[in-house]
Amino acid sequence: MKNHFRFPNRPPEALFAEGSYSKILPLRCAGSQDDKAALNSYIFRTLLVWFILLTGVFASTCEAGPIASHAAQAIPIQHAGRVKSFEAFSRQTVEFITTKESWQRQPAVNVILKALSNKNDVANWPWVRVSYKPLLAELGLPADKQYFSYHELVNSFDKIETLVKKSQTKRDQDLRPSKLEQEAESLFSKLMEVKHLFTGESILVVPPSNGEVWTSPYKEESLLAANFKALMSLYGEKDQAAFSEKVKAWTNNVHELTGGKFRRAVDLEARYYAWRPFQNAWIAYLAAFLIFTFSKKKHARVRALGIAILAWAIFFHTLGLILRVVILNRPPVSNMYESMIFMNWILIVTAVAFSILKKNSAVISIGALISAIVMIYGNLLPIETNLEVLTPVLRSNYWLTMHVMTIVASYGIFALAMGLGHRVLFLHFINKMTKEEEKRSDQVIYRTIEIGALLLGIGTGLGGVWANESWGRFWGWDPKETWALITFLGYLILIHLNHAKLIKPYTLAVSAILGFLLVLMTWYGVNFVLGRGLHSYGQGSGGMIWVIYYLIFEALFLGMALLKKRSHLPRKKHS
Amino acid sequence: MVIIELLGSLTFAIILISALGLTLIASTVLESFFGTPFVQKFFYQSVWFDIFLGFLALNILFSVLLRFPYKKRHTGFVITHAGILLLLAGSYITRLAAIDGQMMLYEGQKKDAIVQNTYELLAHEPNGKVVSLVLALGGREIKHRLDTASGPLELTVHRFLDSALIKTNIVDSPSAPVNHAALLAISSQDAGVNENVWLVENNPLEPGANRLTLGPAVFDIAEKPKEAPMNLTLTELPKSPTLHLYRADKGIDLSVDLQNIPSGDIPAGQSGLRVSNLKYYPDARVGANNTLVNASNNSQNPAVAFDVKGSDGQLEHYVRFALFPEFESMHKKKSQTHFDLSVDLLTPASLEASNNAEPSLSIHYSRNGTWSYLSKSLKTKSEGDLETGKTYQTGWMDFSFRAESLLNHATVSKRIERAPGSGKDGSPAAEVSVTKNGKVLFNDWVLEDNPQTLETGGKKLVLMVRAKNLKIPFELELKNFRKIDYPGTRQPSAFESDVILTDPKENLTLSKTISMNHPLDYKGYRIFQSSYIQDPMSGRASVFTVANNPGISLIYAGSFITFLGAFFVFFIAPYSSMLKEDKK
Repeated sequence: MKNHFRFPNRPPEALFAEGSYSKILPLRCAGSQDDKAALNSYIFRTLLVWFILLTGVFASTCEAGPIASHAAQAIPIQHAGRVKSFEAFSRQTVEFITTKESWQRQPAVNVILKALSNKNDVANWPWVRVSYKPLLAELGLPADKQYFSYHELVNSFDKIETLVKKSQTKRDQDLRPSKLEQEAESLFSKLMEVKHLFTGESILVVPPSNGEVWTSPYKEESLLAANFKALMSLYGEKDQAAFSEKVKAWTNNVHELTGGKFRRAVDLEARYYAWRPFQNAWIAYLAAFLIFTFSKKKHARVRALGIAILAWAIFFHTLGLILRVVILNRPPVSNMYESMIFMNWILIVTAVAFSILKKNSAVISIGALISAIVMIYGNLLPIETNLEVLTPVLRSNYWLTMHVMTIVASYGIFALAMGLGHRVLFLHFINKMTKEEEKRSDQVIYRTIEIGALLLGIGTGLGGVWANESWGRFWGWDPKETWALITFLGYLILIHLNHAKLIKPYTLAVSAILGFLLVLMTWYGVNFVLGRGLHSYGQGSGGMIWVIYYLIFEALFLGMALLKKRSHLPRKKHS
Repeated sequence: MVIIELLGSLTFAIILISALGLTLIASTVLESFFGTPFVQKFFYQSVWFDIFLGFLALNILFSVLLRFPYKKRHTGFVITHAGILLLLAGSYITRLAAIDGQMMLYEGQKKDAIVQNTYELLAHEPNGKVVSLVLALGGREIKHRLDTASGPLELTVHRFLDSALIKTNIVDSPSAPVNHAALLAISSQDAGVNENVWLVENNPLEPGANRLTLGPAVFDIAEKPKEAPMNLTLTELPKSPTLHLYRADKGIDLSVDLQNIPSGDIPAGQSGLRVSNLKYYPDARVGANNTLVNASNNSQNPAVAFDVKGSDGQLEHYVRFALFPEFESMHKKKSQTHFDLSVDLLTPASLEASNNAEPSLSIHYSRNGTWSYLSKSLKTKSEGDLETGKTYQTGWMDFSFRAESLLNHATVSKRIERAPGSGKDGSPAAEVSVTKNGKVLFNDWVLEDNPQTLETGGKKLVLMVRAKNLKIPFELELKNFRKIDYPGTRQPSAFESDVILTDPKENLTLSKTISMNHPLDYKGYRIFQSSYIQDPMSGRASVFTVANNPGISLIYAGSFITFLGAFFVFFIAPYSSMLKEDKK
């Protein structure tokens, strides 16, 4: 069978965009053998190129707008308590209003620039998303639509306000508002956001001559204000190069006026969004996992490619973390998204270390898979992925940083143990488990659990130190504390069972999976399921459905694995 | 020995750890249903939980002792478990001896006591001994014998609520004596008001409930006045100040332009009454001998004074202030009621003043069972019959009201219930009864900061509920509180307090700044910035947490030793050849 390798339905320009790969591949294809291994390796390469192309496509969406918006990305603007890039502001605003990254296929910056160049029109844009059906019904809006303009919604303002007030009363009493009330609150904030856009209130781009509070050119008259307004009116005109030049001049001017103290963070932040480090990372992680899983040991080159892709992933992952630290000037564990990314980083670093120390390549492959999944989850969950400021209790505290980083590190290691547990069960399931492999896996899983438990214990203790330093008590049986202890006790049972030689490799693998459910409860569930306690800062709400999907998957996986195991047991006895 | 071996066994350890884990899961689930105080009381602060942890300590202790004499391979194990024992001991000391309380200080205020999270019922006679009973949530009935000057009393605390709300229940019961009440739904979009209020003619639980103020507006319930209402529309204010005298049955309806006062007496219609000595004061002040003087010619406080003479020689003196039309009627002298004239001073200035004038809504009942309303402000007036369920405009701002129910035989009863949620809206309360020789003297709820006094046969007894106060050995004064926001937002980035600590015993004064994460340490006490109050009315206040935890050093040491041991077990022992030899 002759192999006619072709890119399925790729537009030609996409190939040219990633020219180096598209040129290399057909050459190699031509010279390859007709055997099964070669076919396999083609599949890997196909997948690989697919992923690289996807990466390219994702990365290129940022550049899809006119050049003008590119320059505008780096305009400094004060928003939500800090000076950030216009890119970040636009993304947050557009995402908040539309719940999408772009609107009408325009990147966020273009949307906001368009809004500023024609402010009177903004209230007519049908871009405010209301997707909760009972809220639509309550407001008397058509149920088949999801996007509405400010003008359409403002008629129902009284009803929204009534719901928001009810919700506020409940919050004042520490009660949880109903879903309808929460959705109304969210809609209310969206309407305010749109309003602040067309009144120009949120466009705080004029730096103060003294103090820290920036002003809006649409609210206070000054030479700078007039300049900015004139600049915005140029957007959408034909000569975009001129617009671009003027934007750059404006940005430089602002940096000079502020003594350059925001230049680095603002520029880096614009780049953070453009580079999409975590998107690059998860795609590469997934690619690396596929290559490691489906390539044979003898294909050293393919595996080397896999390692290179993994290195690429880790590079972007690390870069993203460092960028966040530099931009926000704080440790990368201050909200749910950051702790997921940091946990993931610990996970992959531990996996690399184990695969080298224990010469076990399965660890790295599982590590890459879990990393990809965690990152995808991080983007799916409705949590704040943007860069935000912190509440006073979380600011600049040594013990807090130590506490959270240690705890989150332990979660990363438990996640690795969980992944390895799945692998053991899966190999049993497909009857590919050997005694030798089982022993190797068991060693790694047990070791990760030991390290994880140690870190969790230290982290919880450091949490006590922080609590004692911050409000004078080491331990108060707060639900989050209690669940951290429950999780710790869970792994402690495994360690004691192991010492008593009462636990078999198969049971340990199952326990590693179950143990991670405890971690999940501590990490996510306490805030979202129990909904009480002190540790509620830095967390959004919702995302429950994704956690439920995970739980369903886990139930099915464990159920199938255990059924298979049971059906095997009697046979073993008879034979 | 068998028991000790059993208690110190690994199996028992695993059983204990599993049981502890399951217990904690159960308690957190219960907490989400019944709240933190519930689990604190029935789990974490309970005796059985102490015993549970005690067994854990015994298990660890015996497991360590049973391995004696130790070999090298036991090093990590012994260190780890000794650490846990220290940790548990420290926790127990904390549980028994730690002090934890709150201190709220307004700027400039000083205190040397903290408020603890427990409440007490105080009972005392004036100048008598103070009896304190600690109130526990969900606790049993407390009975206490009080020996007072008027003989022994039986004091019983039936129930304690950490956050109680008084709900008044008002119903119509035809057998009850006549007592009028109206439930009004008042709403205004502009003022953001949407409230249901009860107006009760006679409320034994809340005297004065016949009158209610809501912002500048006054609502009241009263019997419909007998005299006919004035037939003057106040919206048509005169161009110049005018005195208006009115009495329908005598056919008096006199308007006098005060810029142009006719000389001599002015006859009031056909009644034979005459107005004399009429004088207008654009800016009146009360001078010597209670006479009016003019302070300036600007219409700042217009007033008018005059006499009314009857044909029978009767004379009455009248004074009216345009801005305070109620003033004179409140100080009505007997001599003025003879002619019973309705007097109004209308000035162009009263238009301007109307913005500041109190708008009012009166709900009127009459003996024949009909209801009506009268809504007034200086600018507007509206009135009419009142029906339940119909919405009426008050005429001031966009206020409207609806009578939800109108009762002729209202009876008022009260009910106490737990405030919803975390209970921020309620206050602590205890249900207390006092009996003397089996006779009930008192049986009611006592709310925090609302002492109740009862007669115990010639003597008085005061009952009050308050948070337990604890004296601390120093005094703290708040000089200044600052809240620093993230630039351009109202989201706080930090808050801090400048305080002065004075210790009279040591003759010591310290000036310090306390901020979030930067507590002040003094004599084993740690003072933390935990919260703040910023109120335009009462000013700025800091809430400090004051804690003294004697067990903390044991806890720190225990934790450190535990993890040192664990580190040894996991990372040093497996790679140490010496320990391996030991095993052989």
